[in-house]
Amino acid sequence: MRLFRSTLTALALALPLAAPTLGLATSAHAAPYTIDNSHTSVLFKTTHLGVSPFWGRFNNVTGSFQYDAAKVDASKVQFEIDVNSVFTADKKRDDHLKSPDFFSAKQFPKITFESTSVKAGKAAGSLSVTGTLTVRGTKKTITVELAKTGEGKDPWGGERIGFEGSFVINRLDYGVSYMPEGLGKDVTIVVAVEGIKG
Amino acid sequence: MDPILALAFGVVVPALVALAFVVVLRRPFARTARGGETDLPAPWAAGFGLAAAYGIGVGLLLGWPDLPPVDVTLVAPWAAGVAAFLGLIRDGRVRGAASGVLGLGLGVFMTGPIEDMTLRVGLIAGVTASMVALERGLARLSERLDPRGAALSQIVLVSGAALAVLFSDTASLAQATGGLAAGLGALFTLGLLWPRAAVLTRAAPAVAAILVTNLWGTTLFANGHPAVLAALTLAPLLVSFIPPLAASRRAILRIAVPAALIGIPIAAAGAFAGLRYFATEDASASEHATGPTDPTSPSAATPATPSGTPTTSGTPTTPGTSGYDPGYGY
Repeated sequence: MRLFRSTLTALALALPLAAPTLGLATSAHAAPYTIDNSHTSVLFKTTHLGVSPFWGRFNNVTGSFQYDAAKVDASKVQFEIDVNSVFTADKKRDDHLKSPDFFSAKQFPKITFESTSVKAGKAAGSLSVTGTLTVRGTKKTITVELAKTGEGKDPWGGERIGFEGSFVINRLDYGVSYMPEGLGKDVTIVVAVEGIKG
Repeated sequence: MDPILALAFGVVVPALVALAFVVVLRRPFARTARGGETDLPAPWAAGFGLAAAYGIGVGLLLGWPDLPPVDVTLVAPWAAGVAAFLGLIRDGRVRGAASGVLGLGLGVFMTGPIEDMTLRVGLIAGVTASMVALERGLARLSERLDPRGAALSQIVLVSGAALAVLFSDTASLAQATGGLAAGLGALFTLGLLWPRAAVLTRAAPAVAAILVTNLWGTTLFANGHPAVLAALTLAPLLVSFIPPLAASRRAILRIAVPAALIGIPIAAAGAFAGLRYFATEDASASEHATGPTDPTSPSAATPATPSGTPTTSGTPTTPGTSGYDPGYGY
């Protein structure tokens, strides 16, 4: 009986030490966050006839990320944008954006991003996130610099964290090729994400 | 795109490509085509010319489509290329059957994103039937009419299809379909000087493949309407059954009357598509004037209220449709 107890005690002490080698460390340190759609913005900017910048947005973004300030490499990001939620304050234009001229939303209803690596960014506290962006069925690797904008508890007891960043894509690379001169090839995408812990 | 460049890529280049095929693919095949005569185009040349005209136009206007195709709405250049080879088949019935097989393949590919299997099977049958009906209709027109009359009828048909595609919110495919009309226009013009250049019997699979792909593509994946698709698909077949079209002694009547007749259902389909397009535009304007409504509701397609009184702002449903988040708390 004494031998059994001492064996159990030894196991109990050894397990935390062995945990890193069992691959449990990452999930224990990188906290999971769910994207809060109500406080997340995905904006896009292009030019109209080479004259002025024009902004639109996607209203539905879902996804999650894991973030560990101490071990940034363990962080992960994945999100989905509902293409049908594109919003430019003009229904006719939104319908056109959903058509095969642009996003072909019926065949490709989601724009997705999944990180493949996360590193510390150039600025303090920022992240350099590399991953696969899929637009209209075309996958391309991109790197986004995300700055942490804030972190703290909300009035309801939850914990929140925010990041913001922007990147530029050539929409022709993704088969979004209608009116390349009139509407610009380069599209700036601004992402401001708020995540709720847990 | 610069308007001059768009005109060059979408009209001039496709027209020149179609002309080049028909003119170049002539002498080597003339003797076998009709013993003794040396001034005949290869009977299948127009199919290859039109497929190349369309494909090159798409490449210049929209970029070269992926192979294997990823986007179901951009499969027409490849479908036309395959269909051009069907023009090598001499027997019309065999060519029609082969077109049906191509239509089946197109149906399977184009309905790939549709998850409901029962619906998908029905749609595959529809695409196949459209391909057969259109190919047979176009071939019958070319066999029974003055070749130039048949060519002009096809220009009317393809122009109507381009308009219908435009009204389904897909201007890029409309522009590309216009390139096919330009290619046909070039062959028609050449046919006024050299009537045999306008013989398009064996080009029917290529023309049908482009129209079926673009019309079904915009019906399934844009705002196209099945009634417009049906009218455009069946118009050549219906007109081909009107017996005395080729009987007039006056060439102008043999050319113009079939084009005018086929223009009737096509004009009706175009008008219907246009009315739908502008009705939704009006509804959109009404929405902006009176506040957001749910565009997925049937009432969203009708402009304002009959009395002209402002509608209530409606009940927003999802952020994607109304622009407002119903679940917003704080």
